[in-house]
Amino acid sequence: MKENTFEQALEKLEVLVRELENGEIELNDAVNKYNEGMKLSKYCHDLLKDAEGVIVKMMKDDKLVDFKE
Amino acid sequence: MEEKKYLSVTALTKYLKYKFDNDAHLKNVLLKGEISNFKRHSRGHFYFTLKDDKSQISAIMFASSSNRVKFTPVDGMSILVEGYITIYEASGNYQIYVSKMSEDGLGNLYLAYEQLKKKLSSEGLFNASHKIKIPRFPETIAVLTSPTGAAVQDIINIINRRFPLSSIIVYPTLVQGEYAKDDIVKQLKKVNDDSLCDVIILGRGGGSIEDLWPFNEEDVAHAIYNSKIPIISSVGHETDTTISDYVSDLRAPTPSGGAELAVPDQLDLFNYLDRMSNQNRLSLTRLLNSKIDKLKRVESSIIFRDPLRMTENKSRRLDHLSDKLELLNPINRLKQSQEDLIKITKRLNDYYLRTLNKKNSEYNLMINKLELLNPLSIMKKGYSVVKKEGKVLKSIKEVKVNEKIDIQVNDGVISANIISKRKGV
Repeated sequence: MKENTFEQALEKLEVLVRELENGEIELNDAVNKYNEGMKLSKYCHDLLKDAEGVIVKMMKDDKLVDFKE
Repeated sequence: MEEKKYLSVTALTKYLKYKFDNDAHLKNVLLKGEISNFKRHSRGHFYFTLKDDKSQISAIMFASSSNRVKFTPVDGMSILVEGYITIYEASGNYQIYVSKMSEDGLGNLYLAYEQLKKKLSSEGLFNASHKIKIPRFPETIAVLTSPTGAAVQDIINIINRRFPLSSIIVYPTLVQGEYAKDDIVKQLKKVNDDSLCDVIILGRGGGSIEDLWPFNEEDVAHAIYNSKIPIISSVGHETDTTISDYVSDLRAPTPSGGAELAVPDQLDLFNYLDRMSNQNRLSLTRLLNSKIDKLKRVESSIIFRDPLRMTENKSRRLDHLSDKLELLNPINRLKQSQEDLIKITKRLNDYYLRTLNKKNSEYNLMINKLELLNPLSIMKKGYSVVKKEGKVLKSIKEVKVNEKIDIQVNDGVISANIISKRKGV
């Protein structure tokens, strides 16, 4: 799941939740989707929680340099 | 001697008025000058003199027009007026009847702003259909503003607080003064050429209308319009509206507002994730309940609840037949037959009951199996599923010593290494 961005993971989660909500689904499949959804939700949650802050760069003379006030 | 013809004053004045009123040049006059002798009549009309260093003209502006003047005219103020010239017959004075008035200087800027807005609007630069949607979760945000100044810091702080997963590239841009226009155009093109960002915040903090003027330039408007990356215009204070605001894909009242529109707030996202988890849980519970209900419905159906009723019709028919036989046959024969019938009826009943019991236990077996197959309930009891590379293990032949396996239990997964294996249960 590491290759997922926040957006990709959240979109997958939204699809799973919608499918499970729909209800026309085998029980076994439903349990799998439930587990997968919970995993994705936690993944998104952790990504946000563990974020170390925005990286700020500056485009100077066609090069990316660290931005300082 | 020829007799001289004398005109009345009224006739002359009427003639002159006729001349004035029919002169195309005097019908719509644009005039600039300085106000003197300004008087505001109690009913709202303005009376004043417009002058420059050599000449002067009387001016009147009726309340119907003066209502729309957004500033307070005072003596000495330079203004621009629009109106027509005619003669006031009672005094014989010619004067300008003013329909529009604006301040000179600043007034010119307003005029230019209004004209450019009209022009660009008719060219379709403000069309909603051309606007690009701001991405839901921008990864990299280009900030085009002065790299010093409060605006850039405000933007960084707010984005950091709201959505710390994104990154920012500051494109240092002149946002004030005569070189600002070209610099904004150049940097907008650079962001598009670099293609590193998925949204642009273009803006600056508050200032005078002259300070904000670069954002009212036609070249800047076209550069914004031509950008393939969506732009959030964030210029000045809430009350300032610039051409850039109209052309941009989204308008923010201030630089901070621009940052807020650019990224979602993580507090909202945490709530949203919680809602999704709850929905997930709710859906699964609902699904399980509906399956359980289905089982209960089947269990309580007539055949299980009251199996004898299935045989009722048959035995009633037998009774009927035996009645018939009784009528047809001699008494001893009849007795025998009746006994036989009772035996047959009993055998039939026994047969039905046996079959039903058998079906019933088969069904219970199936329900138990179904319950056993439900991974949730098995795992809740402490059983676990052992997997190797996602494949469920069923034999010791499928693993070797030192291989890694995953043990899925009720509330998670345990990873383990094989130490040894041996045959037998």
